[in-house]
Amino acid sequence: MSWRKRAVKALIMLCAALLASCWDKVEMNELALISMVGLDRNPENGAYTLYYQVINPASGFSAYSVPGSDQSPVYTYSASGTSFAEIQASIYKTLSRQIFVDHVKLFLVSRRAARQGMRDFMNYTEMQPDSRPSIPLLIVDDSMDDVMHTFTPLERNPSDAIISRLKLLYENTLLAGRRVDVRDIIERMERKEMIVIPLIAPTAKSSKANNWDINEDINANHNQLKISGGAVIRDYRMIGRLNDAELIRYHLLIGEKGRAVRQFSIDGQPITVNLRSRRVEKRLSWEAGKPVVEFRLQLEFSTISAHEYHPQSTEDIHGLENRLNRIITDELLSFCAKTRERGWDLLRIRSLLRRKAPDHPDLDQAAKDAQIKIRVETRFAGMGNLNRLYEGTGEAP
Amino acid sequence: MISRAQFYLLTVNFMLGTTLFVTINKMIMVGSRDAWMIPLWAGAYGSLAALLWILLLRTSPGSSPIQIAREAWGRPGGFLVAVLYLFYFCMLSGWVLRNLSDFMNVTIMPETPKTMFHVMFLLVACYAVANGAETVGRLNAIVTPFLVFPFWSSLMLATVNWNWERLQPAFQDPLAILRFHSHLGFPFMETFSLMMLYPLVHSGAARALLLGVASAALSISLVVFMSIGLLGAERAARISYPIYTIVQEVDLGTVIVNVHSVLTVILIILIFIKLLVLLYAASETIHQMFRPASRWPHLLALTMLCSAVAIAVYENPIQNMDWSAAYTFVYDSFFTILIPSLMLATVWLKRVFRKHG
Repeated sequence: MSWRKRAVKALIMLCAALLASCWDKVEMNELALISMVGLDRNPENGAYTLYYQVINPASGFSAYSVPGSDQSPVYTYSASGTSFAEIQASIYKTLSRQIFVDHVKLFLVSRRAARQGMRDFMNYTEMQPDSRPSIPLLIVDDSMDDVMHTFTPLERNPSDAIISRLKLLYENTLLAGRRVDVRDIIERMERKEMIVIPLIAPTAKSSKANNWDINEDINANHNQLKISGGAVIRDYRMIGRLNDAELIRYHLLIGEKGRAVRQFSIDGQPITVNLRSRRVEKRLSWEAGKPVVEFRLQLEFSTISAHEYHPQSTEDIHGLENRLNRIITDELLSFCAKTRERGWDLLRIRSLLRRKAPDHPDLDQAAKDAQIKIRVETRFAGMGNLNRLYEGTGEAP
Repeated sequence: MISRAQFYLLTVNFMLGTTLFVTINKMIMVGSRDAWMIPLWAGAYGSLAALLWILLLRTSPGSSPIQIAREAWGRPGGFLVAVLYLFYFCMLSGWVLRNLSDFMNVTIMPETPKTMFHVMFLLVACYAVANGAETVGRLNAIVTPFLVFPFWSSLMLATVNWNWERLQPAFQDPLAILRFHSHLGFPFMETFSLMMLYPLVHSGAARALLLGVASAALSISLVVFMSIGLLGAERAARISYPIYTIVQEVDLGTVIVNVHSVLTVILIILIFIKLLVLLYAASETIHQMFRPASRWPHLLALTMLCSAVAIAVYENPIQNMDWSAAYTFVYDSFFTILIPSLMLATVWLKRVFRKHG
């Protein structure tokens, strides 16, 4: 081998040392993979508490006898202070690994923190290069401590369980919306709109303590988390709440496409229908200088769950469609009236006016004066596996 | 050219196609325990109708009904008849597709959009049709054994639940067919679509057609009979897809408890064959009307037309039921009895005048 070849070889070998990017190297074993972040704020002294739920890599993936499966699948660390960065830095008093937030799946904010406002927190997370604006944010309707120290059955990681429930709730009940991510909240707040995000709370405790042993309890309604109701957010602040029935109406009106099951009472005869929102259109017109906003909702319904009544003919269907149109319209109208009475512009009338009439001198007043019309068109789209119901008299009491 | 046996199998599968899955419950609703006699009466009527069509096609061997119409009524008249039949075939295709997507939506795939089923089926069917009648006939002959044996054997497996008491008292209402005339139209008069294939059969097509109608009627009757014996008239009349439920209730030990998936596959293939024949009839009608040089462009147009018809043909199954009870018989009679009779009369009269004139 010539002298020159040896020199080239040596040079190439030296270059290889640079490939490891020594300065920014990250070792998997030195990271704390965070799955859920919680924020609480004490209203008395204004101190924040940040909670980090860290995935325990030593816990097995299966609930059965895998080495390490008796360990907790997640550990919750927390620290308090008045500045987010300070808190994050002080977490290393208890946490032995580098915080790694790129895999965070969920933000939780306590009710009392949300009542005081979340703007600072939003500013802080958006500023960070590793911020996660595309994950959902939920409001905790109880003690933050409790929620961050509660396991969920089936899913080993509580954040997975909550994400999965949000999806199921959206698809099957319309109790959760599709756009409740951090980015959606920021966007709505900056446009002076309102948003409703789900509330989560711990369920009743059985006698056992807050540890992995509760997984031996067969009653899955105990010792876990429950999503129910919605928090109304305006200007980064929680200002009220909606119950489940109101949530469905809200989601229908803002055009969510999920489905819901409801029992309606038609002339005293109950009937359960599966509703599915097909299309929502907003039309703006002006009457005597005042805006008129018409919501046109196209809903499909199926009688696949209607164990009480089954339409037999085209006339029956038209009758059912007409009644449903009327009932749903009335419900939506009363929902609108109720929320507007409280001064909530949940239907985003102001934004609609801003888009369609940007030159209007007083958008806020116009939005308040706006007249709301609702037109619901339901369409029978499917039925279950029975053409007629069985006729025995053994009805449930 | 296709063989007599292939034509026979096509006839049977065409008639069983959607019938087994769509009308069984209505038949039992009308006829109750004696509903199994309805297909027999309807089959007798279907054979008479088939005889009429055979007479018509015998007047000019080798020509299809469309060509006979042109011979009988000249170019404009023939064109009008061809257009009518084209729409008739497309309408039926749409109907068949919609029945399929309804079934799939209710039983196993509730989320899939209906149009997806329609377009996918049409594209595959178009490919087969573009390859000609031989492909259609041969394809059907190849798949038939895979339909017949699994279908009857899964029904046979269900016979553990058989109870003769469900069929008693028998023969209370033998003329229930009078209250269920739509069955004469669907599927018996719809079989007219096969007359577009009839001229392509080597020899003995008439016997194959009549035998096919008779076998199909017997099969439907047997299936209805079994539905009553296995589910009882009360349940079978209320359940939308009785055969599916029958097979759903079959358990082979504790492991094999999902035999009904076999039935779904059979249904899909049967409907595919019905669609194939209808699409062939439609494309052949276009072919004989305009004699286009290529086959594919108008097949794609047919795909679009049929998938649109399938979405629009009815809004919901109940409307379909209402419509069918009121109009199917009249609708099908117009296309398959009235027009062929008029054609036949014209051809005969022309011959008589020619002889004497």
